[in-house]
Amino acid sequence: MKPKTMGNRKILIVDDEAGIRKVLKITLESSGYEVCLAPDGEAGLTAFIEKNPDLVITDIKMPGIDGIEFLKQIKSIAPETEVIMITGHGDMDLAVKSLKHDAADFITKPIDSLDLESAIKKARDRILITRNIKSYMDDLENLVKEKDKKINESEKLVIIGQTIAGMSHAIKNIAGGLKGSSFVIEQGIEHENRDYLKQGWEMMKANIDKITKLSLDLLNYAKTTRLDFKLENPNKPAREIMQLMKHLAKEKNITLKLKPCTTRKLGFMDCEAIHNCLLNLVTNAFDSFDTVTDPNFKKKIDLVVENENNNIFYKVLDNGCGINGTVKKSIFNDFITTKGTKGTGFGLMTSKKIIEEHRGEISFMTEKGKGSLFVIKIPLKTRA
Amino acid sequence: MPLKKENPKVLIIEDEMQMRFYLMTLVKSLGFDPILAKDGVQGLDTLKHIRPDTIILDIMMPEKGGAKVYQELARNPLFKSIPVVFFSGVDRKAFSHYIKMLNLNLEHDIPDPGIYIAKNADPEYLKEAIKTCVSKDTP
Repeated sequence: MKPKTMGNRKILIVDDEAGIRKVLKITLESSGYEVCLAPDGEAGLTAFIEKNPDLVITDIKMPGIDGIEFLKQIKSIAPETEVIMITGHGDMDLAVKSLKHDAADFITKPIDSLDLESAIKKARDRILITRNIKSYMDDLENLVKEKDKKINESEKLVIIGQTIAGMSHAIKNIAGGLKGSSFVIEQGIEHENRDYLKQGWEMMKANIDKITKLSLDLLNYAKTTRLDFKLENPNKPAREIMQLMKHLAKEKNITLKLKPCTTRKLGFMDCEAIHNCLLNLVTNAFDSFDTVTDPNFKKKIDLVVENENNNIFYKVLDNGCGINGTVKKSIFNDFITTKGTKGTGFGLMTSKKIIEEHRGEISFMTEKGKGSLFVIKIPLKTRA
Repeated sequence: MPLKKENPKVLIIEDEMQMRFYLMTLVKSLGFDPILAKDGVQGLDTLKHIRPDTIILDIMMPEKGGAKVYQELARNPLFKSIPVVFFSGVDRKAFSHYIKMLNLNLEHDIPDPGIYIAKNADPEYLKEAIKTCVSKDTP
């Protein structure tokens, strides 16, 4: 790393004695510095702000703002400025005090040109060191930022990779199902076996359903990258689901109930996306009754909307089959399907992504054979 | 009267009903007798009464998965000689890794399965694999 340039060669001299100002000006100008002068602290501050010098040489005892106060003010305006104090005999205490306030050095009157030279060299060294440190820090910061960006990018790639792997898995399974079903149908034709034909056909239909669902899931997943947030009544997506599912519930003999929330507050959300999440959860709840064989079993699904502490909760509770232990841990991310040929493993992953885009959370409780409860929590935002 | 020679028996352990039906049809088309089990527990239970010539084993199943079943078969001197055809949607690499992980807790390693067929493989390929296994098991 190269050190930055030495910066400007401007020096501000503040002294109430015109003679000293003059001598210093001549000496320093002959050394190639650009010198500006001020007779007191106040004028010094104005000149400092106007000229923006790297280096200030100031008398320690001045009328008005004294040298120490001037030093403090310079350091508070531009801490990287180096200040050399000019002290008289018997000003030792003040000189030491000035060093505490981060003066670069002090020189005593009458000013010896060698002392002056060495004090200026010391101050310029300090400037250089400060600059280098700052440039190292900046570079370090940029490096960290760049690495962060790279990590984010690679995370994105990992997610894309997982998505593709999951897709490939889902498609492979469907292909397997289709191959299997065509084999069974071929056998049915060959042996004129009606049972084979019927089973093979059922299997093929299930796989066609599955690939249709997969394409919808993929579409939904793609949509989660560009949600459209609008002010909505939190009950709206839940009511839509009720409209959509009530006939199927009746057909399947499931008691599907909605408990809407009472709040009239509107919140920012993508209603369609939340609709899709709820549809996914309610459909899962429907599927949880697939293994129920007892005709007297009372199948129940509750869809609850609640508003609490400025959060909207959507709860989907069923008394179906529950989810078993090994699957539980990974239902949101591993394209896990618990539903055999019916599921694609995409639904919950998509729901999770939508909820996260709403800065919310999705969680669940489940007990095998007793049922499941899925809870979506999203902050109720009344402003975008 | 000469004894009628028994058909080779193939135990199918697969949780999906439709896949089970497919495998059953496939085994029948080879002239073998299929025996069906809907999960690992039922499969191992069946082995107490019947000795199949080959086992077709799915991997992702509820309760007892295929890897666990395979582990139990490999450790049991009565069953370890029965050839197993893995038939699964799980990637072979992922499965091999899983078997290695399971081996960590064991004194003796379980060998990597010899025959592994993806669920989307061609039925003819699967038929060949089953035939090979059945002929291997015949003393």
